[in-house]
Amino acid sequence: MAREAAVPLELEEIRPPSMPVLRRVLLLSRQHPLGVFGLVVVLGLFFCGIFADVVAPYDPQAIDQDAILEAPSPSHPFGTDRLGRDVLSRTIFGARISLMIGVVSVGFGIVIGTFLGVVSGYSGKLVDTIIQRFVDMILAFPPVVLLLAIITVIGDDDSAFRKFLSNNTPLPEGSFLGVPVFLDIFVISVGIGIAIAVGSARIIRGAVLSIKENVYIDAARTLGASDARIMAHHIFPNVAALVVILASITLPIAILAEAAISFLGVGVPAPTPSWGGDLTGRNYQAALEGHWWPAFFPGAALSLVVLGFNMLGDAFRDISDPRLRGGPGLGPSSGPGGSRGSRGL
Amino acid sequence: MRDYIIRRVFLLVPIMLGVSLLTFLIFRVIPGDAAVLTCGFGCTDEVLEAIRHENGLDRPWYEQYGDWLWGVLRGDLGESVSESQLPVTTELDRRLPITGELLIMTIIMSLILGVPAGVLSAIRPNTPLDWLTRFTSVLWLSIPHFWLGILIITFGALWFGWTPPQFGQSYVPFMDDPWINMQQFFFPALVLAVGIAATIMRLTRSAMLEVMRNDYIRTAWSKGLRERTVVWRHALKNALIPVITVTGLQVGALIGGSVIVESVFNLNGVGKYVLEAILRRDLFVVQSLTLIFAAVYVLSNLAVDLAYAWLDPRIRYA
Repeated sequence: MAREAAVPLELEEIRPPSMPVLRRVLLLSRQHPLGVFGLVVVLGLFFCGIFADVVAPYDPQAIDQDAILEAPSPSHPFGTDRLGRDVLSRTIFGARISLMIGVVSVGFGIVIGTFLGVVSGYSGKLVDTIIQRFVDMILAFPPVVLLLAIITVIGDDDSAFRKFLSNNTPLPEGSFLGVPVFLDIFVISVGIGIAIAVGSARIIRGAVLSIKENVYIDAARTLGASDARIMAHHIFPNVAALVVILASITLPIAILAEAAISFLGVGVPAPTPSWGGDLTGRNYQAALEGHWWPAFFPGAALSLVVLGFNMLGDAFRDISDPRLRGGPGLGPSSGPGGSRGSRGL
Repeated sequence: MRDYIIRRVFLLVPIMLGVSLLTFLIFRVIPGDAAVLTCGFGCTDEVLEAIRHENGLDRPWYEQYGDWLWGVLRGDLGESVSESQLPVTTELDRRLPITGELLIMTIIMSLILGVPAGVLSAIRPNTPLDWLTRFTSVLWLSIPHFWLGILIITFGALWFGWTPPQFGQSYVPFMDDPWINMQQFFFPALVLAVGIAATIMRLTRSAMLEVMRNDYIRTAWSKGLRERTVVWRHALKNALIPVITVTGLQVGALIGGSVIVESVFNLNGVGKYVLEAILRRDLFVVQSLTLIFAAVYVLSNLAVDLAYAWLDPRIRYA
């Protein structure tokens, strides 16, 4: 794990230092056209998510009685849904919701996972056993089932967790950062974040176990550094690259997870645009009656984004894995969490 | 080997106890008051009190936990609070064959799609065939089940005027009418299978590349064996070991996927049952089903580990 994490270093080893950065980037992008495609898609997601207000031609929730279930046309490129809402605008705003949930849940999950992983791996003994048995228990649940269970329980209007959040924290019930129903979105993110935290804690613990055998850890201890200091200043910087990689792998998983539970009717509540939620209910009924567009485009956007992340990840792995460096495009290896993870949910 | 099996089976006991406790905590403690959630919209105090009393929520938590666990061990999974009030086990009897058939078909299909593609891609690396299979596998990995399912149903109806038979009639067992049964299950299983097939394909490919470099493969070549024999008999046998492991580990994803695919394709299996229970906040049913899913998942992971030890004699567990 630790070796794969050291991406920038290995890149510098294979390229002579004299080569200008721009040329190096060009060379890499010519070797990995699919990776470039992935990068463009991912950047597009961030762009649409952040600038949704500017990019979207209509208000995603504006109802237009005169334009119900219109087929795609120049004025509505993706058509309109059963309430006359513009599907293109809803798809663009869906990117914002997906991105928000992705970023919050990955942030939440990775921070907790890193903390648990570092503490568990470094402390060993009883602390390690307790944390790892707990992780075992959570991993014993199939991911979607766990997610559905957690979100049903903590996401309900009457749940103690939700009441606690809305009464005792400054988290707004309504719109925040351009996201309507922020509290619901936050609760969903916490649910997904728990699943991410557990998985990443296990991986990071593994990396920490090998790092703590290094001599410089002994040296630091001999100099009288406290455990907290060693974990923060000597262990954490060495897993930081792995943490970044884990975050980039789990982001599309989180987006897929949100779409899946919204599709099942447990996620983002109805009028808010969501790629998963827009595929279900009345849009699905409309699709069965031949009006395919309201359910087609949000799903297409979702697939494209996940595809982009996967291709970017594959290219990244090809570049960073020394065993595959030889010829261009030799084998997608079963890297950390790669394919299994993104489908696991 | 026998000691290993016995030890692994005994290790299951604390894990399952922990899992049951965790399930119990998720559903009884986190929500604050499970009765309020179950009761839902338009709830009156009398109904609330009745639900509390009926489900023993007015007793201490350890008694509730003990009762629930004891019930589950005896095969009593509780009853639904919906109008029908059917016991969970009755529903399971009816629905398990559907989910079972779906999962078995999915695994068979993903192996049929994944293994040959992976082998072909590995023995002709960096050819258009290889690029095509690899691109397809990334594509299949990225398309979510529910969207693919909707596309098949929508465009099946639009272009071919065909709708899966379960949208008009209920489940038809294979023995009654194989043709209708296959129509009911082919596409749901395919939708579930493509993602797993892609994983299997990628894994088969890298395992084959690894195995083809071995000395015994060179020996097989130099004996003058045909390529077919070398690849499919000598190499594939060893390359399949990790593939079987990973296929077994997909059971968790399959269980989650069945929840989604069964609701897209209107199959009245266990997955759809869980979802319906969740949507009407039937928490006591969901609690028991969650525990069962976790048990199936843990047991299948154990089976994978044991199969691994059995298939590969080089692996010996101390």
